[in-house]
Amino acid sequence: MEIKEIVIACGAGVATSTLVNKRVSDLLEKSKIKAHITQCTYTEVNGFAKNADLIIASSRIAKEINGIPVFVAIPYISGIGIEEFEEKIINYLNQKK
Amino acid sequence: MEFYKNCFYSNVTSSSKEELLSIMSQQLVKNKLVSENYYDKIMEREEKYPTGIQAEVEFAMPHTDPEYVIKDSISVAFLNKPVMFHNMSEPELIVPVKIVFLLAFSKGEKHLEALQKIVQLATDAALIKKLLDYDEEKQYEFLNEYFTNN
Repeated sequence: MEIKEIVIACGAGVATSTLVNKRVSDLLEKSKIKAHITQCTYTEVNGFAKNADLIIASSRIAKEINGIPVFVAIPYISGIGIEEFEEKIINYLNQKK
Repeated sequence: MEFYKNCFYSNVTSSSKEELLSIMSQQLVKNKLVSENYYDKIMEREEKYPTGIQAEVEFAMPHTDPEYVIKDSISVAFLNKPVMFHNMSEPELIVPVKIVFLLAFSKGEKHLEALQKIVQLATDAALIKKLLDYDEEKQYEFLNEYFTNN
């Protein structure tokens, strides 16, 4: 199976993105999806986004960047809607060639 | 990570996030946990990337780049009256925040652990409610145990 490229971004590239990275890594492992995750700041996201399949950000920085969708990872911080959010990630990655 | 008693604010009334974060930051500077410009850096970042979270109990977790942190610590404020923060996911929206977790962290595993604990605590509405009914002493004991034990 191919390896998906995922970019995870937050403001400082330290706090929120580390938490989101951990949660997404756990989710992908559980769902048997192989992925390479890059963690960065919002200002770096354009550079890293070029080869990405999916961008996950802690804030609604954009709907998409270079045609790559941006999912907002707030459920991992607010505790509201985690299941739906994870379903959305899995469905998206599974249908993407 | 340290959670100092003088960095815990129970039953606090504050007119704005600026006032609140300034008081909390000054204490961190006094404790020599952060650099002198910590407050400015926190506010700069809060303006660009706000940290208000719309959860069952609304909270905010202001933080900044690790370079302004001398020693890992957390400060907590329980507010009598909500203070307005901008929303992390939708920065143009306002969130009336009831709890503020001010994070002063350098990079590393500890950071993740602490953040996970904060999120776990802040999203447990029943636990928060119980905690708010405690007196200040008991609140501090609980939080200190919660944050500093593994």
